[in-house]
Amino acid sequence: MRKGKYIFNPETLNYDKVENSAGRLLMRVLAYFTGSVVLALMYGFIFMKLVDTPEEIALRNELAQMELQYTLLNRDLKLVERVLDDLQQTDDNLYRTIFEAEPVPVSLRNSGTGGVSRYDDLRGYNYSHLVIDTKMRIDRIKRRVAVQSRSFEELVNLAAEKEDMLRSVPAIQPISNRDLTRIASGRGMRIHPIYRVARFHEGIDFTAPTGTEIYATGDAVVKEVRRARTGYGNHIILDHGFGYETLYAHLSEFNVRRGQRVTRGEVIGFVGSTGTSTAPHLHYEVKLNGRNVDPAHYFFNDLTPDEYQRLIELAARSGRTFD
Amino acid sequence: MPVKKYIHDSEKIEFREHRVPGKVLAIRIFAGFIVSLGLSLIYFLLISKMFGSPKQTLLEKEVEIRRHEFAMMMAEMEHYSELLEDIRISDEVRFRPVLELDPVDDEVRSGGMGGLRRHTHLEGYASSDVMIAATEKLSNIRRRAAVQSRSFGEVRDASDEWNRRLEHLPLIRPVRSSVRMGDVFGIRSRHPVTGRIGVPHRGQDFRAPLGTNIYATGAGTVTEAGWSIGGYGYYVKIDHGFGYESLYAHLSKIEVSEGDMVVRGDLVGLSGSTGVSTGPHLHYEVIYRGVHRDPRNYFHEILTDAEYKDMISARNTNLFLAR
Repeated sequence: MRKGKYIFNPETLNYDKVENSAGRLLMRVLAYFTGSVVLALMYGFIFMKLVDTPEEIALRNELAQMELQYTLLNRDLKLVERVLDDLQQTDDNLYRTIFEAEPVPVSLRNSGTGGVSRYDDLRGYNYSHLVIDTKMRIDRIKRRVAVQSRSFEELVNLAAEKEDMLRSVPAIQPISNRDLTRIASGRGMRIHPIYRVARFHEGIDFTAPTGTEIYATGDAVVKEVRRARTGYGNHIILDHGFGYETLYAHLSEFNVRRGQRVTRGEVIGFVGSTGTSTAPHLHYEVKLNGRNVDPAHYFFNDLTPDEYQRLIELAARSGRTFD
Repeated sequence: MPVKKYIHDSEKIEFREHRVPGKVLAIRIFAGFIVSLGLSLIYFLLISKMFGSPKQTLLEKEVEIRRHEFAMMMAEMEHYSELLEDIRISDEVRFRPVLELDPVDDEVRSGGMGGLRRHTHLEGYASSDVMIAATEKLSNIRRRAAVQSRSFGEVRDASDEWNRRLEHLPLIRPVRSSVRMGDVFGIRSRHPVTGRIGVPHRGQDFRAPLGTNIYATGAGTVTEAGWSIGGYGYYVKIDHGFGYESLYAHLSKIEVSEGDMVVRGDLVGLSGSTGVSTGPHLHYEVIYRGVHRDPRNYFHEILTDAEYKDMISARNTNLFLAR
């Protein structure tokens, strides 16, 4: 049992008993509570400073590891960047030495962009990855849209033309040329690889390994299959009718005989380096009514407008010829 | 000023000032401290359960930022990866076919893809995935870059060799274009001087008037220059390397001496009629690995005299390839 407490009342000169009213009690509890909260905050603050929860420790470890890895990777990446820059330059230099022309990006993927860090200007901001991701995605979609937009137009044109003529007129590239990387030189004035004087180059040169398949570019009759040690070397002439003839030169082997009927895409021979040739390549010419025309204008069937545009540019460059 | 409290001492029947002994006070304060600690821990746990500790939230944010940095790095590496792929295509499709190099082995290119789970030190983190992905991607890029460097070394050597070959082989006409050809290579019915029948003519004759400039048809070293006891009269022989030699006979004047290095288009002498000859002409031979070849297979009759002159006078600007 609690002993009562008294307060001396100087007015009455009496000891008054201290009453513990409910209000006082509440006040006290409240005070205690407030005090404990303030203390808790203080403790909490000190506690947080000094001690980590297991989750925090894990997070800290994680952060430390991530930071370390990031630093290491970033350092290596800087080295890689230099190596890649170097490789790109070597690539360009080799291109200049071998083709004697200004290098062009290898694929449509890189067309018009190029350079090591294409998204460089977007880096260095927090969350910039989102921007980069989005930009990359937009770029990709843009290209895809461009590719798809052509087919309808083409269909309409196809329907309008005469079927027979369409099958016969040369309309594809004579060798498989994904990425258009095989065009070395087009029709026009070119420096001769040996004589070093400007000569008119009548056809398009496709570089390709010896033995690469050569396709008939339209339905035709084989007009000529000839072996030769100079000039065109082993070559084939196809007569497509409608005034069109195509010539395939420097072949290693033939796959057709004179007088044979061939259809577009049929393998007629294989790439070689016979005749006046400095490297394995196919020299391809198109003649209309006996006169040479630019073969680049006859590749419309298997190319998108983008690719076609690029091909025209590639063929127009003043690269060295190989014959 | 605190109000003094009193308690009633029922034994002595008097009011005594209420004093708390120091020991008790200390115990009380200590108990209070413990209670407050306990309470604050409870608060702390409750709050962290409900909202997470502020520190943890902060750390999680930081981890999130790191993850974004990794994502950015991945985007950058993806770009490098594409660039490497373009360079690879350039190498395989553009360069190697021209230089007749075999493609680099796919296995070498991919180089033992992924040495399974070498990233034990990166495992067990919430962000292990991004760290391992980035590490693997980078090592993949580094490996491919290394293979590419080696490959380009090979390509560079081959392209140097190829260009050297083009500069060295006897690939032009030894006299200007307007000089007509005479007796051709092969068995001739009757030797013009000896009158013998069925003796092979081992070269190509050019009806060059006395004193016509005779040019080296490719770069090389003069191995013989002087009087021939075998009927060539004054003659010059050039070793072009790559198994090729060329010979210029019946000269009236020799402009080079044994051991001289010449490039294509250098003046070797003037035509004449020395040795076994019926009149001024040039006898020109091409020898490949000791066997005489038809010289007509080594040049193209497409140049005008003016172009021929351009070719000869431009030779010094192309010396960088002759080395």
